Amino acid sequence: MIDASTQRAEEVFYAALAEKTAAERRVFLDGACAGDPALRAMVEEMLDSQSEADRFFLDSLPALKPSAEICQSVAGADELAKNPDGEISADEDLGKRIGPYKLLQKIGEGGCGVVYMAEQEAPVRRRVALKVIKLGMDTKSVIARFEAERQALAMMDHPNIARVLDAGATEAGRPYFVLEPALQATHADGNVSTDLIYVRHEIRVVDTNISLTRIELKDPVYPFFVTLCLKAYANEDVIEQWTEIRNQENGAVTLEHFASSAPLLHAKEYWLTQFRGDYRREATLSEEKLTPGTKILDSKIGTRASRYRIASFILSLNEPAKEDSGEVFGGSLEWPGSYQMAFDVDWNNHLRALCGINPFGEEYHLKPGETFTTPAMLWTWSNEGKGQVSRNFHRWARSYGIRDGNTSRPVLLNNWEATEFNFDEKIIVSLFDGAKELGADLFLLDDGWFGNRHARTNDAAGLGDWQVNTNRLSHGLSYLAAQANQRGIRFGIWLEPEMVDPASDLYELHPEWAIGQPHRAPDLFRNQLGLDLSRPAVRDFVWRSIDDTLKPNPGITYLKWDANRYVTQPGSTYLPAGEQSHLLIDYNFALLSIMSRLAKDFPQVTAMLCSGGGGRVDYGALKYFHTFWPSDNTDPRDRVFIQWGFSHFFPAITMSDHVTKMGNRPLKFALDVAMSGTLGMDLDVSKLSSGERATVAAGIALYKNELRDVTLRGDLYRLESPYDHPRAALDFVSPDSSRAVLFVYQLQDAANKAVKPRGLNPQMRYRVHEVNLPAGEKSKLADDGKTIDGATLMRDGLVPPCQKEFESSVIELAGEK
Amino acid sequence: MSDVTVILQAIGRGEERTLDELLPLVYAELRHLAAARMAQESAGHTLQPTALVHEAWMRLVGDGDRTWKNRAYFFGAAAEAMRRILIESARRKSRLKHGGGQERLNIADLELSDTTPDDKVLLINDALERLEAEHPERARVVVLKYFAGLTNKEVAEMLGVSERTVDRHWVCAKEWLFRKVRTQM
Repeated sequence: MIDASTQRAEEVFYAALAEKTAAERRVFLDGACAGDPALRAMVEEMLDSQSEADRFFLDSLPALKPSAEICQSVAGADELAKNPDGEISADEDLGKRIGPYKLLQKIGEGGCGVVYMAEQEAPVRRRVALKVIKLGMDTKSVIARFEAERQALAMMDHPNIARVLDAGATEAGRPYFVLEPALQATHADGNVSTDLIYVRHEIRVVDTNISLTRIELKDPVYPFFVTLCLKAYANEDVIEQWTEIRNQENGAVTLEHFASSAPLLHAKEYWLTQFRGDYRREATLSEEKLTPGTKILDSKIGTRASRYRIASFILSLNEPAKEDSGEVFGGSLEWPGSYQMAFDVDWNNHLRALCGINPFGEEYHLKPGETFTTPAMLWTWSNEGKGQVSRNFHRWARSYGIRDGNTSRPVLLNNWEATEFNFDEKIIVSLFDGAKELGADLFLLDDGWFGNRHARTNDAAGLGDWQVNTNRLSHGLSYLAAQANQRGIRFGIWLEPEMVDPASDLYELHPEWAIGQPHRAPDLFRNQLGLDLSRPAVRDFVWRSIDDTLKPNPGITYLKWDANRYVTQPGSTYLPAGEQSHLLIDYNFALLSIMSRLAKDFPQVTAMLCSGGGGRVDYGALKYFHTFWPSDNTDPRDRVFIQWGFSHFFPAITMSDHVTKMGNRPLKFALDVAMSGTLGMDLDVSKLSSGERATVAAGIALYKNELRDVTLRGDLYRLESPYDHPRAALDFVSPDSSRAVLFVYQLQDAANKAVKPRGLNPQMRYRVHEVNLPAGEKSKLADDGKTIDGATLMRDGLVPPCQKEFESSVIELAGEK
Repeated sequence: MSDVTVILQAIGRGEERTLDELLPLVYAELRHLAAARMAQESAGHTLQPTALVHEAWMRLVGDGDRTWKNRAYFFGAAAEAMRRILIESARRKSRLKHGGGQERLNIADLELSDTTPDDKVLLINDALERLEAEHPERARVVVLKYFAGLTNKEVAEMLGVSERTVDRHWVCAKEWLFRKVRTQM
């Protein structure tokens, strides 16, 4: 027998474990062991070894691995394997009520919960998936059962996978919570339930940075397989998660819900920041505390789906998100189509974040033998605030998420401001000299270069007819490219390949190629319709439009891919009646495949993902592009906010920021704002004064020679938010910390206070130098020209010479080697 | 009707059939199942005991039998059978690891750690034998949870104690076993 003193010590030890914090435990032990130091010593030893003991048991949980001996020792193993598994026991709970829900049918069962299809009667009648937590669930055995990394487990959650939960149930009643289903399918025989059990998992080491974990689940009755995939990027602290759903049944399976990812989190509070907006007001931050119930951020507009809200969010635990402290998650769906992010806070304060394609109107029929692969959800986490979350996304994007992320970007000049639709060959060529004079690397010919019978001379005709307008450009595109090249600049072109105008040869030939619904008048938007990419002939056509433009004209080395409308009438003359709901999914997969072909076949062509501005900004499409167009709003005052919003997920090297006359702000202010991203211009050079031309030329030279390396490849630190301050401030620090650039934008009149840079090497000494000053002016920055160590700079800051609205300052910090 | 059901029913009627008769049947079934499952698996895959034990119950008895007493007998025997299978497997692999296999290994491939998971299972089992002498009820909780992967609730119903008692036994037993094992490592 265990002796009495050990027994007493065990009692106190077990009771002490109920105390959560070390301080609470000390108080408890002071009372329980009063006057008995030997007892206290024994209990403390037990407490000390307890967590180590837990780990030891977890590491050594026994499991069977394949071994020749055990397999050969049994005859008839194949026979056994053919026998179907036993069925789940009938459940006595059916028909029972839990709160406002009536249990209709058991959908599945996991290690710690049972999921029912339930009916909610009030306030609305609807069917929901209801998860009831089993009592007495043993968290550790659940973890061990899946035996995958803890991190991987915490990142996944499907209705039929045991969750890692504190059950926290009392004898008085089982806790329950209601969830949007992550996966819902109707099987070939009409059965609407799915049960998924763990089959196997593998962890593949892709390289020193990347590992891919695949967790295979299967319905015990149906040949229906679900694989959870997690790709972990160790250096960037980023995980991509997606789900593969495979149907091996005899007939089609209907997928009603098919989320990419649904992690479960636990914290006191959750603060969600969404990035919403509209045309010209993109990526506006809006933060709120999540309350019990389901909060849904979504898009239902099918294509260029981020117009009203991007498919990315910041989720802060316990407190509103801060830049440099606190636990923060960042999430971003790699999908240009409709999406849904549903945030459920349950009564135990757990949060489930269900993320994926929006199931609204997108039911998908999976044929026998087919696999449906959801888009990937990108996650990162930091306990050092959302600033680090952004830097994780940025580093990941530069290495894995975009094209040529570790190179540079050309400075381009666009003709739109100068000409709009009114140009010909002579006018365009005349603009090349202006571009050259300003120091641009590239000239971009915008909308209006194509169409003959339905010439594109305004926005009402010609889309779809991607042949050069021979009246306007009689020598063709290669001639223009050669003219540009002769002046030492590259040549690029605008395309909107997914669209068609009713006034076009294409529409006259193939009206059935446009997206639309039977018996409904076509709903025109900007006079145009979208093409139905679910139709193979249309996919071929769209690809040929691109290929026939680029291949015969190798001088074109830049493509601006525009898309100016979304889907309001989802309908296809190609898809059968029963598969109309496939349109938007088929569309976006086809779109991504065409984009990927563009990247593959034309590696020398730099590509901008443009969609009227902000309409298509996601890492699904960006994979095949170099930059995106954040907004048609180029008023630098508004751009400070728009760029601030997008910077939470997308690095400066992806953001096309152009200097224009919009808003009539000071030219230096416009330049300083655009230089914090990928600088370009949309200016009518002929209308600039010689002083303005000199200012722009000097700014571009500075950007190319000194700033671009740091801003495009460095780490971003957001210092002062324009949402909370009369000014905005940010800095970029090169990967080796030897160079930094600080930007300050004054948005309201205010006294100038010090701005404190971050991310510097505290030991390194930096020479402070204000740049982009008006010709002949000296810096009013007190510390200009001084050499100061990083620690002092970060502690005391620099007082920028900005007090009045639209004053701005760019300060270089050059480390001494 | 399977032999196992016959035995369980006999025990239920108070007949002189014993758990000793149950054990070899359950043991054979578990090995059968393990082999069948493994035959379909790729290398590197592992089988969790809890899945096997529950599957064996479904196959041998099925959900027709809802009496907790029968489940308790069955799972008690299954846990003991599973323990034997796991220990056999760990011993075999531990022997191979420590030179029994006579296999030539590249020195670069050898792990630095000298205590493998299989060794740990064996060490825990040794310590568990000592716990069985000192505190049989607590040792039984360990067998059921550690080797058969049963939940606190299942163990509580089998032993006729509260879940809290099961949890206390489990937490204290882990701590006790770990301190015994630590001296061996």
